[in-house]
Amino acid sequence: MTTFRGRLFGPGLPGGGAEATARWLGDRLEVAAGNREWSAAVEQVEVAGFNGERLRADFRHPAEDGEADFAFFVDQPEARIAFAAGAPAAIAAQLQGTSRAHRKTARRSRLGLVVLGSILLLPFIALGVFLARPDALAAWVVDRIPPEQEAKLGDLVLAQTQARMKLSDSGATADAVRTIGERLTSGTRLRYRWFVADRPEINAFAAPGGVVVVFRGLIRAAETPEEVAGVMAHEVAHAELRHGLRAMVKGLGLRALLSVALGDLAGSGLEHAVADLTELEFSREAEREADAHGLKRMLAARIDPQGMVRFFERLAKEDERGLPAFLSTHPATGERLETLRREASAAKVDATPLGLDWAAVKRD
Amino acid sequence: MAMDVVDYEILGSDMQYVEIELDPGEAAVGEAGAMMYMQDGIEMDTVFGDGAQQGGFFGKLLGAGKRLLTGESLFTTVFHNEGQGKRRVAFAAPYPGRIIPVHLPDVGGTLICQKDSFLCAAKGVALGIAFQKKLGVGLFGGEGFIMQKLEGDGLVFVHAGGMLMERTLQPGQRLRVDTGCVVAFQPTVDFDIQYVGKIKSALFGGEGLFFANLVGPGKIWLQSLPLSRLANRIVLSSTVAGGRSAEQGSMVGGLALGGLLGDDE
Repeated sequence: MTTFRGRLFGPGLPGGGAEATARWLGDRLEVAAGNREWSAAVEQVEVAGFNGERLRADFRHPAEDGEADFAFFVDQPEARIAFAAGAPAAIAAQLQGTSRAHRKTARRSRLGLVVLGSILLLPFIALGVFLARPDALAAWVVDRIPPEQEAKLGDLVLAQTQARMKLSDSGATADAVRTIGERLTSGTRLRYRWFVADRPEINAFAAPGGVVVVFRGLIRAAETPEEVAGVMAHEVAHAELRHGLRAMVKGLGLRALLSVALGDLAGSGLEHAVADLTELEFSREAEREADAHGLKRMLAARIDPQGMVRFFERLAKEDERGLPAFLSTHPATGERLETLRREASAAKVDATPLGLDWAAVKRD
Repeated sequence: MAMDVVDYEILGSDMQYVEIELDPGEAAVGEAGAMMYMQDGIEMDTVFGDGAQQGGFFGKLLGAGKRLLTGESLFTTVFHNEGQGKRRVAFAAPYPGRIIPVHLPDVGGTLICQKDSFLCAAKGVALGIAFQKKLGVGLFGGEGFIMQKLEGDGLVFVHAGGMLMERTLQPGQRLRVDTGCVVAFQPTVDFDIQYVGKIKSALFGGEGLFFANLVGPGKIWLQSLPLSRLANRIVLSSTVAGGRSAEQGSMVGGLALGGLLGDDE
């Protein structure tokens, strides 16, 4: 019978165990450590120790004060093989069981680590998917936002805008804006609110939820109400197509995902995102879409689309270097103008004049 | 591999350092930054890895990578005695606590210990990692998934916070320990976790949800004050770090400007 090395623990031995050699003798295990010897039937065999990397054979043996428990550990691979080879039938069966249990533990540990790893990696995977398909994802989310929620967001934007600039919804200018706007948005599911801001810039914006703000500078620069209608049609198109909401979802989603992935939960405020809404820059795609949709709305409202084209052209020519805010936030002006001019002249429309006393409006 | 047999002396009571005596030609490895002083004739040499691998470049790289995982530096410093007689080199503990010497043959040649707890050793001791394979233990055992494995047949010096206690567990003997207090154990010891048992104790007992459950046979080393616990207490009582400063009620403390005017530094 081959002997194998191990470590023996028990009464009368050092606390850290003693180097020992052992061999099977029939049903009994014979262990020798130092100059002492033990011989006993092994009661059970188990995997034991750190990570269950060792085999432990338990036996009872007389010591100074009666019978005591001893544990013999087998560690090295060759010792394990020798231990298994000579083991009596009952112990061999237990060994089979332990190796099965050991494999099961190893499998469970691997599975657990994979799960744990995926949980840790999940934010990064989500971030990757988000960065790969941001528009499609944002559109998917936006489609699930009900109009009531959008209107509430509009209230928030309105409150924030009012804090920064004076908005009026009465007077000749506001009435004119409302008249044009209502013609452009007939049959909409959004509840529009029309405002005029007392600011000299040539600008206008539409926030989610149907808050449309036209700057007084735009009214002053326009020669006919059709020109204002052109700009408003474009902005209304942004609101109808929910471009602002989409951009906000994109920004918020990115910020939220980043904070989850990088563990920084501060500075992911909704307020900040709402504040950004009035100064959003849309993608080229969104601008092109808004141009086309705005033109469609103008035609549907029987407003002469040439007004829009003329206004853009004049503004671009007048001030080549410092473009007005409305145009400068919109990329690729030349190309867009070209498209707009072509589509506007192709469209057949029997326009009805807006019927506004524009000179009076401008004086207001 | 032949280990260098070294003589040593541990000095100090709660802030200890260990002085190692090297015969000519002998060497010791120390954790980077742990050296306190060395006598004339001791030469310092910084090696990649733990100074124990004899293998090629990749073996060394692997060893160094393992060291990085356990939170130690990529390099270890080897101190040789190039002089004529016995020379001494000292390594100091980085925070209050005890240094314990462990003679590796006494524990079967391998010791599993808390990462970061290695201080110094006789040259030839291999510093490896022992990856905790039991998921629950890794998550809640207080020692994390990565522990340090010290292998060889020489002396190693391990350091941990507070009082360090060696206990010997008989076969089958069980000791439940607060998580985080286990510094080192012999690999024959079964290290597992155990739920505290009652929901009321788990939530309000202040001991956490789990105990570390150690089952013998073998030697274990426990620390009374894990560094993280000490650090928490210090932060809690530091006004600068946002905690509360508990005034001791003395006149001087009460009359101090900070105490009177609040903490608007």
